[in-house]
Amino acid sequence: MQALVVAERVIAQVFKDKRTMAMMFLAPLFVLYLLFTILGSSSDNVTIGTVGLPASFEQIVKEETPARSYASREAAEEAMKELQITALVYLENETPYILIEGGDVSKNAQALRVIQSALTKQSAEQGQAVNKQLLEQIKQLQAQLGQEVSVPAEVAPMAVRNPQIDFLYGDKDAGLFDQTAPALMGFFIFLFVFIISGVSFLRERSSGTLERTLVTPLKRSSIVWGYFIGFFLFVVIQTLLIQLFMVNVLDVTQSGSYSLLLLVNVLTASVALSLGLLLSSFAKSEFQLIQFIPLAIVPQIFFSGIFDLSDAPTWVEVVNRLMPLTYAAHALQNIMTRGAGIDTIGIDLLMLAGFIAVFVLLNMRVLRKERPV
Amino acid sequence: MIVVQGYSQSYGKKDVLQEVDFSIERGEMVGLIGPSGSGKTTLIKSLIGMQIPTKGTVHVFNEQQPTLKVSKQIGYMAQSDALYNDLTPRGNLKYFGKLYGLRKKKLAERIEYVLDFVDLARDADRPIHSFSGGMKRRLSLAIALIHEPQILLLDEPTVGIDPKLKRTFWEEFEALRSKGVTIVVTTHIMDEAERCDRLLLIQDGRLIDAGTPQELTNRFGSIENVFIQKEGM
Ligand SMILES: Nc1ncnc2c1ncn2[C@@H]1O[C@H](COP(=O)(O)OP(=O)(O)O)[C@@H](O)[C@H]1O
Ligand SMILES: [Mg+2]
Repeated sequence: MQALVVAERVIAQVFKDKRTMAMMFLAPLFVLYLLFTILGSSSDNVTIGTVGLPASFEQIVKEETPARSYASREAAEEAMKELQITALVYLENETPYILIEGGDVSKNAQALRVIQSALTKQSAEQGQAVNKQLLEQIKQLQAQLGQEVSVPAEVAPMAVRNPQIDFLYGDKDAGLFDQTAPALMGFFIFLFVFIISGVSFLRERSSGTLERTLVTPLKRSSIVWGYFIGFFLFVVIQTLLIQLFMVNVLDVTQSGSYSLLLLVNVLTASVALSLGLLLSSFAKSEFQLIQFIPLAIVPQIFFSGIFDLSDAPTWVEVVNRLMPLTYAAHALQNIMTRGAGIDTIGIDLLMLAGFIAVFVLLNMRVLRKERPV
Repeated sequence: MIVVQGYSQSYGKKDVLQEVDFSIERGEMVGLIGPSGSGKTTLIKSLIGMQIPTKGTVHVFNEQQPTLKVSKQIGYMAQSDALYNDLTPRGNLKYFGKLYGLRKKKLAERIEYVLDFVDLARDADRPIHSFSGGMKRRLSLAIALIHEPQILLLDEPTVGIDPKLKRTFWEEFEALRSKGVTIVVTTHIMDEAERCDRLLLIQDGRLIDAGTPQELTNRFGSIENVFIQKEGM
């Protein structure tokens, strides 16, 4: 009940502060639009799966990138769904078929390049083998006939049949922005909510109004919940705006459930909200709060799935698991590019909710500094 | 009403108040005087229950501070105005009134009453960031009074306001005292000290003397000497 009184006041305050409103609603859209415009492309390491191809083919692929062979197409596709392989090559009626995972654009391109060059090389080698065989037979014929037979110096290698390419998810038009967009969306929602909630709570502290509020019979938990509820309203609006902008205006690939996506975004924003409130307790000024950003926020972008961490040292993996954005980005990417449902990202939702609970509790705890009861 | 026994307060290694003992009766107006940095604000904060005494006890209405049980009985005016500048005076009063648990009708009544009391009725719906220092001080007093507290803790209420407003403030304090409100006020100013029933002299974190303005005048020669004496001690 008291929390609602605090929430009502927070809401009234934000409505009066046009700059904060603009910062909350328009700044993320502007930044995302900029990124959308400038993003180019890059490349990554990929693993390629094969079914029923000659060992020589796998050998050629392995010169460039890891490869695995599978007993059946089903097994291979399963592995692809678990993201163990990026692309799958199999033969049907002598024609090579390529299946691309499609969730990660730079990996797609890389996989295609490796496979096609391997196919070309292999058929060249096959062609040479055929040549050798032919020459052998010709020599035998010459010996039998005792006379010269003119042979062409070289037999053209067997032509590669054009491979058939399919995508498991998405299509090959997807740009790099589509691939990084889910993670970036999570990151910017996080960043802006963190700054706004942190600065507002800090202002409350430095202006003495927090102390003044705590002189009343208000419970400490009520002020934390009050802030949480008050900002939550704006967070939902902001998230909805960002999501609409990304999916409907920038036309980023969105193959999953719209409401599930919204849920993940709102949870992400709530983590940022509670973290902002918490860290503002350890800052004496707005400047000090901003100093937390390179420490607590920016590193999270490294773990948000934009960069491939599979080769990183163990401690990085540990840090990765402690970062809320790791889970947010994982969920967002899976929903948007792979159309994943609650069964795939349920654990991410739980982790995000866990972060919120921990930060809110810590918040109530550190408010003891302000008032012991 | 207020009983402080063997009270010491330290922040980390810094001892701010040491072995303070005093008690205040209902309806008294008590002045806390002492140079800045002597610990007046620290003492006020313990009376409201914003910190746990390092040593000793602070009781208000027979309840040991800190406790939320007596928060409704205490009105507090901080040394610096703690106002929501984005809101109007009415918005601020509404917020604090609700936190003290005032119901709709009562709240509306009290808001009009205190706005009138501090003469802000005409500016009640203007945003605060356009207010003068004096107007903000008046609003701070109005907020301290919104829930009809039995005890009023005023931390340098008249710093930075003009003499005319200062006089109004003191007339208001006296009006409240005559209604039985207990008032503790910190001050630097001689004529303010003279209007109190009793004075507590604090220096370097110790309560060095206490008594009526008359008693202290007799002891130090004049009320002016009380201030100078303790500065030089
Ligand atoms: N939270 C705190 N941490 C450390 N020192 C403090 C704190 N609050 C006050 N002090 C110190 O305690 C002393 C008394 O401060 P204060 O009670 O504000 O004095 P006054 O109100 O009489 O000017 C000052 O030296 C001040 O620096
Ligand atoms: Mg002070």
